[in-house]
Amino acid sequence: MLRIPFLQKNDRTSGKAQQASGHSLINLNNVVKSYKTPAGEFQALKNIDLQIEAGEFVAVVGKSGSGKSTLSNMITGIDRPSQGEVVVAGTEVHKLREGQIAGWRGRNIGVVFQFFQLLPTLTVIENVMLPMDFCNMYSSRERKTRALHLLELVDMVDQADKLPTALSGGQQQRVAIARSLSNDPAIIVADEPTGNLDSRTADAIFHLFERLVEDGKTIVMVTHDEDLAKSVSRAVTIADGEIASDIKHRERLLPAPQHQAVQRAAGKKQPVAHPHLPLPGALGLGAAAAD
Amino acid sequence: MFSTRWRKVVRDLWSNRTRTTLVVASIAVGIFAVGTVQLLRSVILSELEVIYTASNVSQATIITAGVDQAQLDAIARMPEIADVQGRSSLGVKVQTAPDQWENLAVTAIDDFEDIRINRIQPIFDLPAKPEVGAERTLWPQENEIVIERSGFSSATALPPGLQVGQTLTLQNRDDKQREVVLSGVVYDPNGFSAGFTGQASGYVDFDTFERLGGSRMYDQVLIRVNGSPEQQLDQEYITAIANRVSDKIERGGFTVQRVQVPEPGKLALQDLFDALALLLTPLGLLALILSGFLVINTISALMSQQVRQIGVMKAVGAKRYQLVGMYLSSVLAYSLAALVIAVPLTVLAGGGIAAFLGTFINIDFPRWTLPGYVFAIQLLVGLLTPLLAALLPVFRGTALTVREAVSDYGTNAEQVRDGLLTRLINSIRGLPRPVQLSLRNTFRRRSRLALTLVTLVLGGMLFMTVGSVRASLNGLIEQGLAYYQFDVQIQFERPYRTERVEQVVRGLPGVATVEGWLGAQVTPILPDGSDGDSLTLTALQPDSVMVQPTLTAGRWLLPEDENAIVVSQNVLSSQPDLQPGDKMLLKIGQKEVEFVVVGIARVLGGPPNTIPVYVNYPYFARLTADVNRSASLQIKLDPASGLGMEDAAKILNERLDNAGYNVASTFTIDTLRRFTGAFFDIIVYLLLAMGVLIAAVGALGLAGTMSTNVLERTREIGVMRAIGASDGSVLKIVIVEGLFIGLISWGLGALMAFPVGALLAQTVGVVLFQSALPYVFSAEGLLIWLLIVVVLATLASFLPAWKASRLTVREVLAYQ
Repeated sequence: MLRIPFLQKNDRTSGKAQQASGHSLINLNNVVKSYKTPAGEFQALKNIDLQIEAGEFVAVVGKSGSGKSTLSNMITGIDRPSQGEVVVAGTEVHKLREGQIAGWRGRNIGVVFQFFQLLPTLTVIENVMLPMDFCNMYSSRERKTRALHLLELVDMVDQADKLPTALSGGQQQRVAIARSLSNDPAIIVADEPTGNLDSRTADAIFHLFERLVEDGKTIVMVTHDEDLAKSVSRAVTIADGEIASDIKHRERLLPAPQHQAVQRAAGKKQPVAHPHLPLPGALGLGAAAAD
Repeated sequence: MFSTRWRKVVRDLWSNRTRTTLVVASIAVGIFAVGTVQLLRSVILSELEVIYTASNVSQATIITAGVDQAQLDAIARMPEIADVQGRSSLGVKVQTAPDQWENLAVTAIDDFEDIRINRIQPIFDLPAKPEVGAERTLWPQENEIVIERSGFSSATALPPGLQVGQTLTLQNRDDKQREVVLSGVVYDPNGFSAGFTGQASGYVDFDTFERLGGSRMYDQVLIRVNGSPEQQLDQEYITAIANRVSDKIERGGFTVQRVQVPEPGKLALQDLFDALALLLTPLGLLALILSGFLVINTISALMSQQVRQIGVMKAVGAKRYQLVGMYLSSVLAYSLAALVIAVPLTVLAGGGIAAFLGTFINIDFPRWTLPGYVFAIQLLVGLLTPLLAALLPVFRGTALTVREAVSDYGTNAEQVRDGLLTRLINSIRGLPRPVQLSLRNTFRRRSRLALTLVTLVLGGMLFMTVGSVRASLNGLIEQGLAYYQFDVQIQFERPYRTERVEQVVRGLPGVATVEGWLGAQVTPILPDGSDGDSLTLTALQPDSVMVQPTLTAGRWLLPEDENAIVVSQNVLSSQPDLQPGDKMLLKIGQKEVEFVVVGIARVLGGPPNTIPVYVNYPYFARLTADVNRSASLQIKLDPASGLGMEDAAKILNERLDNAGYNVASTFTIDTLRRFTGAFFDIIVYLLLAMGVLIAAVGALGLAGTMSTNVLERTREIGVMRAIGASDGSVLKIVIVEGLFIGLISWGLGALMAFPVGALLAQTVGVVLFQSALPYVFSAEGLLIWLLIVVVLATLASFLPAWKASRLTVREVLAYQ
C-alpha cells in the first residue's frame, strides 16, 4: 500500500492518545447542546453518545438543522457542549479554555469547510503554511517543503503561487484539504466538504479522503449526501439532535485500477512523483484538476 | 523572511490600498498637527533664548535727556550693577530717490568692537543675508554707517539696490545734508523688522552722530544687574536697581525721562507665542484624537470584514493573542507609514511657518530642524494613539468564536433596525425611492456614523469658529482703532505754541480738524514708596473729538475733572487690584501729584512696553506750565478731499520742518491698522490652518466611511443592479448618502459654532489681551463651510460610488 511518508502514520488500533486514555480516539459522552433563541431554548444535540476509533472514516448524515454540524463542532472544539463530555485524542476538550482550544485544534485536528475558506490575500502555498506558522510547527524551510508536498498530494503544486480567487471551487477545496493536513493531525473533520462542488469534483475529493484514511487518518465528514455516506466505513445519522442510526460498513479498500483508468481517460500528464508519495493521479484527482 | 501570518498582514494592507491610504493620511494629519505645534513652540522659544543670550539684552533701559561717560562710570561702580553701556539715538531722513526722503533711526555706539549689551552682529555670520555686494562687514569709521539688514527687505526704506561702499545722503533735523558711506550690514535682533515698520535703522560712531546733529551724551543707559539666578528673573529686584540708577542719574544733575524694565527672562513676543501654543496645542491634540476615531472606524470595519477569516485562522490553530498581534501590527504599520509622511511634513511646514513669523520680528528661525523631543512626541502619539484606538475593535473582533465567525450570523451580519429615524424617513412624502434608500443607509451603521460625524462636526465647527474669531479680532481692531478718531498724529521734540503749529497744519487743504495735546513719561509711586512701571501720560482736551475710548470700568474724563485719570488696561498686569475710585500718586518731573482713577480703558496700539494713561489737558498744562502749548497734534482729514493719511503726514512733516518746528515722529492710523491687522492675522491663519487640518481628518473619515459602507453593501448593490438599477442610480444613492452625512455634520457644527466661537474668542482675548474679545459671529464662515462640506462629501463618496457602479452583477454576487 502506498503511504504518505511526511504524514505521521496513525496506528488505527494503538494511537498514542488512545493508549493514554485507554478509550476511543473520539469520545462524546452524554453530550447536550442547547441554544437560547428568541423562541426559547433549542436543543441542537440531545444526550449524544458517540465513540470513533482511530482510522475510521465516519460520515455524519442528516437533514439541514438536524444537528450534524453542531456535532462536528463539538469534536473540533469550535463549539462547547452544554452538558456532557467530549474527549478527543485523550484531551478533555470541553474543559479547555478558549485560548487553549485553538492551539490544541491546530495540532490535532484538520478542519475542512464547505466554502473552503481560504484566506484571499495569501497564495495557495501560504494558505497551507499558515497552520504550521500559527502552531509553530516545523522550521520555516520545512514548512515550505512540507506545503509543497501536501500540494503535490492534492495535485495543486502547479498552482502554489496563485491566489485562491484564481482557482475553481474544486481546486480551492483541495488546497483546503492540504491545509487541514499541514500539522499532520490524526483527525480530519470536514463539514460538507463536497457540498459546494460538482459531482465529479466531489468524487475526487471523496477519494482523497479515502486515501488519507488508508494512511491512518481518522476522518469525520458531515454530509447530507446519503449515497456518499454509504461509501464510508461508518455512517452516523442524526435526526432532531439525536443519533438515529449508526451503521458500520465493511472496510473499504482503494480500487486502484479504477483510478488509474480515470487518469488515463483524462489524458493527464503524470506529475513528478516523490519517491515515497502516492501519485496524485493515483488518488483520482487528475480529472478534477481540470475543473 | 516573513512568516505566513505576517505576509497576510502585509497583503491585507496592500490589497486595501484605498483604506490604508485614508487611515494613514488621517493618522499623519494628527501626528503632523501635534508635531508642528510643538516644533513651532520649540524652535521659536529656543531660538529666542539663543538670541536673548547672544545679544545680552539689557535688563533695564533708562531713557535720559543725556548723561556723560563719567556718569556711566559712576553707575558701573554700583555693586548691584554688572555692566552698563550708553547709546544715543536720533531720527534723520535718508534720500531714497531724487525727491524722496524716508525716516532712518540712527544709533551711536562708542566702540563697535566692545558692544556688551544689546549686541549687534555682522550679517556674514548669519545664514540669511541680503545681497549687498560685500563679503564682510566693516565696523563704521567716521562718516560711515552700518545698516540693520531688515532695512534691505523693505521696498522703500532705503535706496533701491543699495550696496556696501555706496554713499547715502542723510538729512538731519536742521535740514543739513550729510553724506555717509555704507560700510556694512548688521543684524540687530532687538526690534521689529524694517520690512514690517517701513523704517530702516543704522549705527554710527559718535563723531558721525555729532555731524548728523546728535549729541555726545548718552540718551539710553543700558544696564545688566548683579544677583543670584533667581534675582536675575525677579522684575521687582531689577526695577529697584534701575530706580536706584535713575535716582543716581538725577542726583548727578541729569534728567531721567523713563525707566524701562521688560519682564526678565521673557523674550520678545514670547507672550504671543505662548498664547499661540496654548491655543494650538489642544487643537493639535484634537486632530490627533479625531484621527484616532478614524482608526476605530477603520479597524472596526476591517475586523467586521475579516470575521470569517478570523474564524478560519482560529480553526486552523491561531490563538487569540496571535490574531491580536496581527491586527495590532496592521495598526502599527499604519502608524509607521503615517510617521514617515508626517515627520518630514512637520519639518517642512513648521520651519516654513517659523520663517514666516520670523519676518515680522527679524529673526531667522532654523529652517530644517526637528528637536529630539518633538520627534519623540510625534513617535509616541503617532504609535500610541492609533494602537489605543484599535485595541477595543481588535479585542472585540478576535473574541468571536469560530462558530460565530464562520456562521452567517456573526458581526458581519448587519442588524437593520426599524428605528425612529427609519420611520421618520419613511414618513417623508414624495421622497424618491433611491433618495429614501440613501437616507436610510445613512443610519444603518450608527456607531460608525457617530464617529464619522464627530470628526466632521468638530472639524467644521472649528472652521466656522475660526471665522468668528477672526471677525472678533477684526472687531477688536476696529474698536481699538475707534479710539483714534484722528487720522494723523505729529509728535514734536518739545511743546510748541498750539496756535502757531495749528496754523501751519490748517494751511494744508484737506485737513478738517486739529487738536493739540501734551504728554509725558511719568512714574507711579507705589504705596510702599517704590517706583512702579513708567506710564505714558497723554493730556487731552476734555471735550476731545479725537478719541472715542472703550471703557472696561468706570467712566471717561469729564471737562470739569481736575486730577482725574483714566488708565489703560495694561496697568492691571502690574496693579491687578486697581479700580475706579483708587488714588494714584504720580511723579511728573520733580513733582509728585495725586490723581484719582475714574476709569479703565482698553487701548490698542502704541509702542511696545508702554502703559498709556489719560488726564485732562487744562489741569496737566497748569502742572507743567505748558498752557496753550502742544507736544503733539492730532489731525482729522476731510475724506472728501482725497488726501491720503501717509501723504498728509509726509507733507505736514515737511511744512512743519520748513517752519522751524522739530518733528519727532509722525504716525497714521493706516499704519496702525496695517500693523495690528498683520499681527492678528498670524493668530487667525494658524487657527485656520488647524481648522483645515481637522476638517481634512473629517473628510478622510467620511471617505473611509463611505468606502467601507459601499464595500459592505457590495452584494446589496449587485442585487439592485440585477433588478434594474443603472450606474447612475447606484452612483446617486451613494453620493446622496455622503452628502446627507456632510449636511448633518454641517447643521450640528453650525449649531455648536456659535457658543464655541464665543468661548474661543474669549480664550484668545484673555490669553492675548487679558479680556474677552467683543464677540462677532461670522455667518460667512457658515456659508464657506457649507460649500466646502458639500464638495468634500461629494468627492469623498464619489470614488467608492464610482467603484460600486463599475462592478458587474456577476462580480458583485460572487463577492464573499
